[in-house]
Amino acid sequence: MQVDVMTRLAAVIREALDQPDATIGPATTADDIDGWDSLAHGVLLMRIERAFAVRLDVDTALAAENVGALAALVAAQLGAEPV
Amino acid sequence: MHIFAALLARAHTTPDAVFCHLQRGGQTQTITLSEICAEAGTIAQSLRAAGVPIVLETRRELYSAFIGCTLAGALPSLLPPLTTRQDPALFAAATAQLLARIDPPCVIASQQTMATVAPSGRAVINADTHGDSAADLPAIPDIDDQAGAFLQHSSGTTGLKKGVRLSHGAVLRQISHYAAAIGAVPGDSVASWLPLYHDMGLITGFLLPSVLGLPIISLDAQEWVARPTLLLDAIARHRATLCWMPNFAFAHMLRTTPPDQDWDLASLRLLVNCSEPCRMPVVERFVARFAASGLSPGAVQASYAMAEAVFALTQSPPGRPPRGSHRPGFTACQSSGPPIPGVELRIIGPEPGDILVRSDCLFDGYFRQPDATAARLRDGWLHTGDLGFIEDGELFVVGRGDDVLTINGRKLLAHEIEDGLSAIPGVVPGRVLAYATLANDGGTGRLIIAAETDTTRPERDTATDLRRAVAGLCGLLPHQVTLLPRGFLVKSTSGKIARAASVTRLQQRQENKADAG
Repeated sequence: MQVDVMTRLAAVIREALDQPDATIGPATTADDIDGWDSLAHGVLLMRIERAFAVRLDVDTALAAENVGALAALVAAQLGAEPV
Repeated sequence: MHIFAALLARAHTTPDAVFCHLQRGGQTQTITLSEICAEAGTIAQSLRAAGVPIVLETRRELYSAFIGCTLAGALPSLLPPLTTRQDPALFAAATAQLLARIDPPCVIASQQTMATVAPSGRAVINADTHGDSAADLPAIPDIDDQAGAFLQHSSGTTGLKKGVRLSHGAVLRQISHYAAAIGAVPGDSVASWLPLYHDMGLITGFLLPSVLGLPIISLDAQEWVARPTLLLDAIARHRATLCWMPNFAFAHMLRTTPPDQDWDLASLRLLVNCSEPCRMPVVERFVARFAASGLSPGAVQASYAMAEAVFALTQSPPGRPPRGSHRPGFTACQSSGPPIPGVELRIIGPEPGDILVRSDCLFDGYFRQPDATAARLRDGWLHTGDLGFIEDGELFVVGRGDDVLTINGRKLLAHEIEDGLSAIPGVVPGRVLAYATLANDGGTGRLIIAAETDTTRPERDTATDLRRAVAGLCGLLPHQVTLLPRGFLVKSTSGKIARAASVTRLQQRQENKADAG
């Protein structure tokens, strides 16, 4: 489940930040990717929520230390959804 | 009169009236007039010293500490807390540099912001352990209009910010003039995500509503950046009527608002574009996007403002659609309106020229920086450093003095060229620098375009499009187009391109290349 979320999340981030060739793994942080500035948070959050049909808590999402942590937040929200 | 005299008077007569709906982390905390004033009184009792910086997140104690300091005559100033992407050690060092200039007897911080102020070695009052506010409402201090109310540290990088010293009289005169210009009425309320350490946030999101008795709907700036729709949710929920934000925020909201989502924004009677040159294309797209949400085009206005004048110098009249200039080459400029009462404007030199202002609510000077004060305030006129022109009695601000490029005897505005190049495929939006270098014969400036590029197109194609676009924008071919990797141009703390620092970096790059070659 989480591996699938990670793969999809990486694709969303690449597309939102316009970085088609960026290498994104669980340990990737915002500083590793060009274009991930403070305004990009707003664009990313919207794209992630729409791609996965989830709602994330802003403070928790901003505090996520890397993409893996962000994927875990998304996975937790997906798990919380009724089937 | 004290700037919070009206707030305290209302706290006595209507103690349960709303001071602020403070929204944080999905929760809304409603703070009453008596609660905020009693808490301010408790803080005031522990202070008697002058020049007290407050380093706090957007939270209740930010308001009460500020009010409390003014009640004690302690000349507070709000300083930014650390944001998620800043290096903590560097930020603490910059804050220590600023505190050394202010030289305060103590600093008010929280558990969370303590680490930022600790390296300065200053005594710290911890707002988290300051005790509860079971105290009585404080009395209204009897003070002179000339007395200093607070310091406003507005622009510049953290360590070098100048403290704009404002008196109680100047602040109250400004609020009275500005309330008349916007037609503020009882029943208005202000929704704001602006940080209070900025003049626009402090005045429109705190002092103006406090003086006029309007409820505040307060959002956190970092939360808003991540989820800009929070502002629209808050306006709809609280039926807010007034809101201020800079030009970039209009663009950010357009970028991040899902197209299929809708809000009821009909309550909003004034949304003011301010603190950056106001651009018609962005504002017109905003009006079109939110028309179905009930946003009236007549609500979207602009103001020219600065901390040295407390806040507003001009305001476009509420009720009419946003107005662009008719001047050839400047049609993208949005009118900032005529001067508000008490303000005189002058434009010096060929238009767009230097904007000079005089008003009855100017600052007393920069705190402990008489030379900086003398450079800006001459014969009663404030030299703003901004460029603009007046058309039909209304001010159009086009940029900063250092934004103007003189090429072949023509004045070009760098940011207009940069705006015009931002949308070219292959160019990273907003990451273009237009600047001039003097040709070897010193005859004229040469136009250089430097742009950060993504990897979506061959560089040659991007460069060709850039050249053609420059020619289309201003009729000149650039002397040189330099393509750069992402992140090369230096950003200021506000996220804009730091012009001088970026040019220096580019020139070093050229020299290194020349040496290597």
